[in-house]
Amino acid sequence: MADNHDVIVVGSGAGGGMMVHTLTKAGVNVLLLEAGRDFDPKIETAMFQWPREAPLRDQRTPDKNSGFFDATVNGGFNVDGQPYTTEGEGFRWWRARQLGGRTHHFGRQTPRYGPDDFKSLTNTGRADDWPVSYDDMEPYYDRVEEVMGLFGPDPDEAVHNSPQSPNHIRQEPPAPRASELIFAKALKKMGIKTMAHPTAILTSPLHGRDACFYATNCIRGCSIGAAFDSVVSFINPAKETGKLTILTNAVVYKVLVNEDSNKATGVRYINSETEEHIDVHAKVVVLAPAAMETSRILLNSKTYNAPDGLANSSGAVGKYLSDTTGAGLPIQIPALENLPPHNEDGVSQPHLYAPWWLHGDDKKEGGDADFSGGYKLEVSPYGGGRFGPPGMDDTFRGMLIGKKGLYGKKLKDYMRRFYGSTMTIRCLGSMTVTADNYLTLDPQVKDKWGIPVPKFHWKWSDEDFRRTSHMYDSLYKLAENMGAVVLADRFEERRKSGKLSGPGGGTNHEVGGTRMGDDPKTSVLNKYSQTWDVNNLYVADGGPFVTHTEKNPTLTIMALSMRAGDNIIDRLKKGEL
Amino acid sequence: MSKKQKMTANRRRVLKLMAIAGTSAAYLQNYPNMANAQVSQKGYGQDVDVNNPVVTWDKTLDANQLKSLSVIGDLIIPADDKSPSASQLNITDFVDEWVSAPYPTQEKDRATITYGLERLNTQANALDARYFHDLNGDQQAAIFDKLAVSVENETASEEEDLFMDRLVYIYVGGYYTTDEGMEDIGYAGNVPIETFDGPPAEIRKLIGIE
Repeated sequence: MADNHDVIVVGSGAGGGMMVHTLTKAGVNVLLLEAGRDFDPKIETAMFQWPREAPLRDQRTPDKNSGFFDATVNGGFNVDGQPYTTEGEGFRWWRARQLGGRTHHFGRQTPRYGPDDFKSLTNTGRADDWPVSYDDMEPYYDRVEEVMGLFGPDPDEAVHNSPQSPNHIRQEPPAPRASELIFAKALKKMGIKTMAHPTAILTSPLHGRDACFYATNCIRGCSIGAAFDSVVSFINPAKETGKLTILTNAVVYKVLVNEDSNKATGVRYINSETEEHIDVHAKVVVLAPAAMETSRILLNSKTYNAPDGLANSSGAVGKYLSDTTGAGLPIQIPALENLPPHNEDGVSQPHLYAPWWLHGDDKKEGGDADFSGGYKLEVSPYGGGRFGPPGMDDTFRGMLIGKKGLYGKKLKDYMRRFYGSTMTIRCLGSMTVTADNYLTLDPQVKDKWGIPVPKFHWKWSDEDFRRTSHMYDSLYKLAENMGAVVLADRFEERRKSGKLSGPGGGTNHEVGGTRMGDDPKTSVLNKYSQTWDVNNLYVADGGPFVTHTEKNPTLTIMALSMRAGDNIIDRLKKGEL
Repeated sequence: MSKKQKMTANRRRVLKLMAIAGTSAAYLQNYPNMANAQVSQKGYGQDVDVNNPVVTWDKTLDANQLKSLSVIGDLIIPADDKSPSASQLNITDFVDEWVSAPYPTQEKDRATITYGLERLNTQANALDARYFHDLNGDQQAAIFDKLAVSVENETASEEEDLFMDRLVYIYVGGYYTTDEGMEDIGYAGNVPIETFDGPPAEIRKLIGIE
């Protein structure tokens, strides 16, 4: 392969795709390496297929962790021949091996981080401040949203620290479902504001993509381009520039460095089909294979000058990992029993949410929110209701809770009466970022190609416990105000046991490992996501995250990637690279 | 009981069931498939063709197990004036697909369900029938109702409790994901629409919103 590329980008998901799009549109020659196979959502997505058309009614299996029709290829929490190990409270690492990465399986929730989120240390004494502010990020949020497309609430409705997309970018949201109207009414009584959740799904056509037709779960991917993914929005337009070369089945495991000049010269990858080890070269290397993999690659890229891993003079590579915290409560709403059939599929994601509402003085007055960060509330799209075709786990497991021995005519009557009235209300929340959560290279275990694998060390903090406990208190209050019956009640028992959260990584929002900062002694990247140690090496996935808020991370991953891309373009023009 | 304890208990129970299955000559005589099923079956893998779904494993229940399950399926979901019975929609075939699948959840269900069927046959034997499905309808209904009541009253054994729970779950899952089942409970989506405007006025009135 001719080494005539300006930039190598590793990984084609949200961060890598955004980088490729930014660079090629500016005329930069890019070589994109993707560990998985080529993937075209236009032809490989199951649209309208019923659960009964799949083996096991589309239920989750060890092969396909989100069901047969899920978009994930050769991925999930376990990838054949590519293991990882854990210590402490456990960690689950979701991966995908396909062009576009995890953006096909993505729930498409794309809230912006707020001004306070970038100033955690200043405001709360926890974690650290980011080297960027909301004002630095705002133009990038705007630009990413323009490319990606989203619906969202009226920005004038925004509450403190949950800024919303401006009217000239955001599209109109779909109306709330019946269950969400009850949710909103209950929260209003509680003095908590609800609004449309910012979501990367089109309700009007954009950039040649169709509007959503309100059917088919987005985790299957989207064949009409209504739900954003990296292939349709980033990679295909990048291809049209003629500046992009793509190598699939290219598993990068090492960054190549010239020790004299201290520059990255390229990367080494394994062709997963031929098992060949191949070197490719460029002026700039951008790592975006997903945050955990970036740390692994850097730790596996030891050199004479960097015996603890490349770009790791701070010792921070692999550290300060985080994932979204959460809580869910299965409920039944008598007001929704026996309703005439009506279509509640919607966009397959929540149409409404309550952004975090306790801040500053409110928090002091509230008195009981004894933690940094916060959480959002929503009706889960996966816990029942009438969200999409009924499924075994999603719909019926919840309906059968506490119905032991029910069968025959009574069972049939029950199903008719209760269908659509059971669901899960849930919270997604911040995590307090600490040095207790990190990955190292496992000293023994290697993948099928002999490359050392990550070992995850995980521990939820006391503050995470207090925050999660508060989530449950809110969910119980909300259930009561919704006139709902709580179906599974193991919360008090679990609270007493001191354990409210499962293994880390379960939300698939794992970030960190190469955090950015103002101080090269405590951070891996500067404010442009460029490594302090090797000035032509960048990170463009979730690695740079400094704090972890209740806002889903993907939009911020893309905004940081675009910002890094601008910096690369600028420096290439100036001849610095 | 904590979730972890419960899982351990389940696991212990399944191991126990497997041990029984492995050592009982009568069991193996009734269910010859149990001895060699599962081991060589393959799952569908991590890179599937979603547009051409294929069940990659063979169904493994024998004719007598299927006959008994068919009877039980109709006790769980009988026909009425609104919708057909489980056997009219051939849901037992789905149960066979389920319990034959080479995945841990399904393998556990296989042990639970084949053992439960064996227990029902033992009760049939006491009434001079070879298999549960050889009994007359009244006898079948009485035995199954006794099981259901004991599960409801929490007087059933762990094995019986699990047998009932899993059977109902799999039959409900199989049945209410068919066209007839979805129509019965009133699912009305999975169709393309222009705009999503929320529930119609009739529904809003019923749920007390405006």
